[in-house]
Amino acid sequence: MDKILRIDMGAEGGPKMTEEPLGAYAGFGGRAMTSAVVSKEVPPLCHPLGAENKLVIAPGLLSGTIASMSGRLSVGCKSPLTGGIKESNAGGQAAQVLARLGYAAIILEGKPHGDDLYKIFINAEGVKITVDNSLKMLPNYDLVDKMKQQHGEKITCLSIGPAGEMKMGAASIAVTDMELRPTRHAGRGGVGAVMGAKGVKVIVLDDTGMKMRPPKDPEKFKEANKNWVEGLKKHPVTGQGLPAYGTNVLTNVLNEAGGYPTYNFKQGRFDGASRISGETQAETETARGGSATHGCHRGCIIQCSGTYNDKDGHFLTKQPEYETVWSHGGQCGNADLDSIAEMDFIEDNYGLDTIEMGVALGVAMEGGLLEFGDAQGAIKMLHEVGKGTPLGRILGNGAAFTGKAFGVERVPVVKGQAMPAYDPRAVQGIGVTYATSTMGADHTAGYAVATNILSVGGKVDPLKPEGQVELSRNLQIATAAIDATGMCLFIAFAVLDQPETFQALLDLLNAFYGLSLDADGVVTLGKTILKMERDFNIGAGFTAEHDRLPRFFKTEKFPPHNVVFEVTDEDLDKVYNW
Amino acid sequence: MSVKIESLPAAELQILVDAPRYPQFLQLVQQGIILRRQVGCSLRSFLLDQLRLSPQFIEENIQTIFLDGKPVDDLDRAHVKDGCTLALSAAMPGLVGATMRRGGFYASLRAQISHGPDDPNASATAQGCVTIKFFNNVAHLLGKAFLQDTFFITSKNLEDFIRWSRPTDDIKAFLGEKPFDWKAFRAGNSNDELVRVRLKIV
Repeated sequence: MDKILRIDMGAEGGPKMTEEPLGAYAGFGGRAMTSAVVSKEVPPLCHPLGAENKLVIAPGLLSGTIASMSGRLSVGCKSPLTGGIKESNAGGQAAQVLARLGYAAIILEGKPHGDDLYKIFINAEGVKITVDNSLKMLPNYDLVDKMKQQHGEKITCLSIGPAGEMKMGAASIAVTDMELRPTRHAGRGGVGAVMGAKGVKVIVLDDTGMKMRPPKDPEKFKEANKNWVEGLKKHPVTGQGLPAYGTNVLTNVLNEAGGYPTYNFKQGRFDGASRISGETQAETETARGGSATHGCHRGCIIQCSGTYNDKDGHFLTKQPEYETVWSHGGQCGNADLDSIAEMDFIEDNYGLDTIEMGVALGVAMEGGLLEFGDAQGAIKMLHEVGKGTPLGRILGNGAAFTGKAFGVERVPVVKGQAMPAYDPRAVQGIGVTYATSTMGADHTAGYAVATNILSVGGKVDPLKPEGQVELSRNLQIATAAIDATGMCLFIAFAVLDQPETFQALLDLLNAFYGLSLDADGVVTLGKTILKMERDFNIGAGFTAEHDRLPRFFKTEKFPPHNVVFEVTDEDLDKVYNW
Repeated sequence: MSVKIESLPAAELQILVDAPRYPQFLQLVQQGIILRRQVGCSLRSFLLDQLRLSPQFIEENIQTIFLDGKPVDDLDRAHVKDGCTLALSAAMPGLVGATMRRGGFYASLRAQISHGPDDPNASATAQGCVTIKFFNNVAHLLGKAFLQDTFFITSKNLEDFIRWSRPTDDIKAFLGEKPFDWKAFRAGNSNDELVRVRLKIV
């Protein structure tokens, strides 16, 4: 992983590729790499779909090694949805394969002069870029089938569906999983639209003949990975809860807490929650011959995914995640798990962010387009998006765009990006992260519950309400650092409770690179990433006014607890003071 | 939901289900089953003495507790009253999952909805009805035992369960002495009307 592949899609005579050493980007991986390149090379005021924007695809620092859970991929650019910097993160096979092929990043830049659509094929022998207009408007599943016919079964694909080709704000980049299905997505922020603007339909990776990346100290690395795996397996969340029920295990808990946004953020409880819960989902999957325990990439031991079959036992989609089930469930007043699974498939196939689309549908329901609970109507709307009808293009450009089109006041977005499945009035601390994240409303921006282990920013008394701003800041710093490693964020739960597991993560990094990184070094890395991102956003015109939740969170009481968001603007403005 | 003990139904719906299909009835413990127990005590005492859970089981398996929808941090300062709802869960993923954990490092992030300390003298010790919900691994560990003991559910929850889980006719059930027709059951005018239930795994 010692080189960067640049492809200038706008070069005279067609796309031109160059390979270069890491140079100033040495030591960066994942989100650190994508945000470093975007902040250094992309003019903040450029149009996100223009030639000046760049799409950066980077595996994490530990991707391509035997380190368990190291298969996360970062995709960065200026976001067409938020107008700010974006790092969108995905599982699947691509990070491992790309790293084994030796690439620390692929950077797509420029803009093609015509409307040709390109396929990029990368294997041990090199890179081949070809025009293939037969791929135009193919949904992801059909596209991957075609790639299998052309290149065999040992490939990994990064692709866009019709939504990306139509440059929609909710367009994702699909990444194939172990079964070569396009089920994993860099979903947030419209990164698929940027890939579409570069004229690239699919990047096919084949690492045949490539080996695992060798660590500097193999023995120490092997020992660290053993401790790492043991730590993850013995923890109740990573060893039991997530494997058994997946992330959707949160539905019942959030609903009971009164923090489950329902009917477009009107209330915190949904009557149908138990019918779409992770427990019910797992039971349904098992009863239909699917699986409730499955990994999204090789080397995953948490196995929070699964296989969701239809009533006849045929594959319908991968196990929908909590946010997907919520956005098409409670957010839309829909308690039918099968319809949620069908919408998950449709969105994977068209290449759409499931959070953005579910929230957009809920906003449209509030605007009168459909009745809440009309699952079949929602499915029809998603096909409008896939076809690119005028209505579909409104929905496919996300919740904020849809809210404007339908004259809706209650539009749950920050910096133009739809809010995930936790209401910030019930859990105010996450509201701080939604408001101030460089990414727009994003639950994963402050996800790494490891701040106590890192002691980042000093010791905070967790039982004092004023600690919320400080905790959010520290969570964002820790998350940015973990996003650089290629590690799945779910590792944070074991790290939270088990200092020895955090040490194992440090040992992995140190043994691989021959470093002596400690907790302070991790904090420094997180701060460096956030500063680059923050500076880019300031350059793009973001001010303190953009670090706010929509007004209704402060004025509308949220049942059943009847609370409003109480963190003051002055406190929100302190998040980046360090 | 407030339930008068004297209004509890006498006739029992007995459901006979084979072991492979019993998990679909765990839906009932997610929705909430009503138990008649001694109330007016601390939550810790209720878990130990009324639900008969061991301290070790509580410590190892129940990291997230809601009393009337509010996350609980201190088992000794939260009190169980007649008509309350108690939900028990394992440790949960995600920042918000960590936030909901009792006494957890991130509890301050949900300070506005946390369960505050109760006045221990506010409710008398007496028999009462408590709605109990078991989620995730707790449902897996405790659901079977509690479903095989007598419990009550609202007729609305029973109707919802039948509509969505569609128990088939070969799962025999009897209301008192009479065979129970799954398809014919309707909640009636009062959704809060209770049904006494016991599951028998055959």
